[in-house]
Amino acid sequence: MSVEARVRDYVVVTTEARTRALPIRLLGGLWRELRKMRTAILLLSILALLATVGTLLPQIPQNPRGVMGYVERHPFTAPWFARLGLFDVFSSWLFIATAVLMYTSIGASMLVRVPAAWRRGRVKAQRTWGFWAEVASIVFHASFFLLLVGVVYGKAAGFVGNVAVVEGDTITEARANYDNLSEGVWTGGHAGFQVKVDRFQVSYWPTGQPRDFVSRVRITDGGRTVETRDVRVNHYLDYRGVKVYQTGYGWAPTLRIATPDGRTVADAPTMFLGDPPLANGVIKAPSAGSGSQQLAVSAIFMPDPQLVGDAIAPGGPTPRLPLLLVRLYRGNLHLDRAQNVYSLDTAGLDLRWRGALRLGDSVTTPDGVRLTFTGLKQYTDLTLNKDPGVSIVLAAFAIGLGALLLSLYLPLLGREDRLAPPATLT
Amino acid sequence: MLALLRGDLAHPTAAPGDLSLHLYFGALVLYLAGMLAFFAYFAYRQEGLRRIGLALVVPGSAVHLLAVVFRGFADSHYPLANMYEYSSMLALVAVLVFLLMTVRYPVATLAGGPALFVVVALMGVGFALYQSPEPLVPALQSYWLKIHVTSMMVASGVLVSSFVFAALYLVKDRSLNARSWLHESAASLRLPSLQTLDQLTFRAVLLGFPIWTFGTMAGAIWGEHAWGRWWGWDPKETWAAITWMVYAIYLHAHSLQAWRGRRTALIATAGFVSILVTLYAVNLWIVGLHSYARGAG
Repeated sequence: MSVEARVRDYVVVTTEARTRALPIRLLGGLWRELRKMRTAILLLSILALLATVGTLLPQIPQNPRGVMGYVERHPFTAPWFARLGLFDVFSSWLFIATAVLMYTSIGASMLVRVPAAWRRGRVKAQRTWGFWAEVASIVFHASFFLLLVGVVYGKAAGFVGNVAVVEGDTITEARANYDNLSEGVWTGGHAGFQVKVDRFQVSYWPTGQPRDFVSRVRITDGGRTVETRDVRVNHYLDYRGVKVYQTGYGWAPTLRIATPDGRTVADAPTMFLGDPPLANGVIKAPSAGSGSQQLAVSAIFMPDPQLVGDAIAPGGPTPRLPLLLVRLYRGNLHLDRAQNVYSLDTAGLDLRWRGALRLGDSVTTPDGVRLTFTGLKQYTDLTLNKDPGVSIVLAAFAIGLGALLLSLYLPLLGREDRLAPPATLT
Repeated sequence: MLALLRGDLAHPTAAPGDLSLHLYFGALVLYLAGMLAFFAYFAYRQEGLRRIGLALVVPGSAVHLLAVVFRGFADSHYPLANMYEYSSMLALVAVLVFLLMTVRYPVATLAGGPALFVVVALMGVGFALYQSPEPLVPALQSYWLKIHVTSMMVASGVLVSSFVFAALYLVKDRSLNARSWLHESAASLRLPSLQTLDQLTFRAVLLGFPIWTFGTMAGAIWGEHAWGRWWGWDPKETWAAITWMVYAIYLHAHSLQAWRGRRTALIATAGFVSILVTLYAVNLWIVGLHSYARGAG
C-alpha cells in the first residue's frame, strides 16, 4: 500500500471515528460487508443448507404425520428442532431472515454496480462486450426483485382453496364453501359464480393406474351458463381470473338409514376417503333419536371386491360389484364437540349391526333400522385459485433468463475476460 | 453387439421394448470399450488409440439413440417418464456433449476415460432401476413433460462434463503437492494444466447452468399450470433449487480471483453430487409430489 493511501485511510478512519456514533459505524460496516460477493456466497450456502434440512426432516405443510412420527421417535432432539422451526423450515425465521439478507445483499451490491456501470457507459470507448455483460448481470439480479413482487402480489391479492364436489352438485365460489382456503390480505370479495360438476369420469390403464380423470364443469354466473369445460389435470378452466384445477377424486356412496318408526335420517351421497379400490367413510345421523339413540355408520367401500379364501379383499378400481361393508353404531355422537366429519370416535358407541350390502340391497337390523345402499356416485377434488401475479412472475422469468444468458455469454465475444467485480464487492 | 441383437433381427416383430434394451446394452458395451481405449490413449498418447476410442463411442451413441427411439415406440409416449428412461437419455446427452467439447477443445479428449466411466456408471444405475414400458399417468400427460424434464436432463448431461473436469482438477492439484502419493505420477504429468481444467469446468457450467435455470422455471410454470402453484417446496423442487444455488455459488466464486481454483473445483463437484441427489435420491428415499416419476403412481 502506498504512503498516500495509508494516510488517506488513516484520515478517513479517524474522521469517521470522531464524527459518527458507534451504532452507525457498525451499521456502515455491516452494509459494506453485506454487499460483498463473499457474503452473497455465504448467504447462498446457508439457504442451500436450510433447504437441505427441509428435505431431510419431515415438514408440517407437506407431511404432518411424518413430523408426528419423528417427534415420537426422537424425544430428545425433536423439541430443539421444533424451537428452530426446522419442521417448517421454509416459514422459519432462520430461513426468512437469510432470504431477507440475501435480497438486501443483492440490493446493496446494486447500489455500487449501477452507478459504476452508469459512469462506464457514458464513455464510448468503455462500452465493450464486458460492459454489456455487466449491464445484463445487473438486470438479471434485478429480475429477482420483480419475481418477489410477482409472487408476493399474487399471494396477497389472490387466494387458493380446495373443494370436493359430488357429481351433479353445485357450489358457489364463496369463502364459506371451501374445505380449506388461504387468502391474502388484499384478496377482497369472492366472485360468487356457481361451479356445477355435471359429471365425473375416470378411466384406467390395465395396470390399474389412472389413465384420465375429468370433471365436466359448468360455470353459471348471474343465472346463465357462461362456460362448460372438461377440467382435467394439466387442463384447467379460467373464468374471471379464477382458475379451476382438477386434483383428485373419490367415491360417494349413498346409504339410506331409516329408523324403526319409518323416518329417513340419512339419504345423501357421502364422500369416502382412500384409494379407488378401497375407500372408507362415516355417516352420522344425529336426528335418529335423542341423546344415546343417535345412529352412525362406519363403512368400507370396495368397487370390485375379490374373495381370497374366506376373506374379502379389494380388487380393481372400477365398479364391477360395488360392496359396502357396514358397521352400525348407536349412542351419543357428541356433535356439540368439534370433530372430524371423516372419522368416527366409536368409544362410548354401541355396535348394533355389521354386514355387507351390494348396490340396491336393503336390510332391516334386529333393532328395526332399515339400511339401503341406494346409489353410487363419485366426487371430484377441485382446487380454485386466483393469482393476479402470474404475468409478473412470467415476465421476471423471461427477463431473468435472457439477462442471465447475455451476462454469461457476452464476455466470450470480447477479447477481454469477464470483468472483475468492483473492488468494493470483493 | 450383433450377438445381442441376433434374436431381435430373427424376430423383427418382437417387442420394441426388448429391442430397445438390447440396443442399450450394445451402447453400454461400446462405451466400455471406448472408455478403455481413452484410458489407453491417456497412458500412451498414441493418436491411433484416440481414433479407436472415437470409433467405438460415436457408433455407441448412435446405437444408444436408437435404443431411446425404440423405447419411445414401446412406451407410445416420449420416453422420459421414469428413472431408467431418464438415466438413459442423460447418459446419451453426457456422451454427446462431451464429444462436442472435445471438438471445440481437443485437450478435453484426455478426460475421455473418466467421462465415459461416469456415463457407464449412470447407465448401470439406470439399468438397476429398470422399468418395463408403462403408460403415462394423467399428471405427466402434458407437453410440459417434454419441456421441463428434457431441459433438466440436458442440463444434467452437460454438467457431467463440468464434474469430470473439476474432479480431474482436484487430482491434478493434489499431485502438485510434493507430499502427495500422486506427485509426479503419470496421471499428474499427463493431465492438462490446472488453468485448462478450470476453464473447461467453467465452460461446461456456463452451458449447463442457464439450461438448469430454464428447466427449473419451466417446472414452476408447469406447477402453476397443473396444480395452481408455482412452488410448493416439494423435495424435488427444493433439490432443484439447491443445485441451482450450488452452481450460482460456483459462478460467483469463479469471478473472485482468490477463489478460482481448488475451491471452485470443489464447488463444481458438490454441484454434481447435488444433481445426483435431485435426480435419484429424492425419488428413491424422499416421498413427494414427484414420486410418480418412480412409476409407482
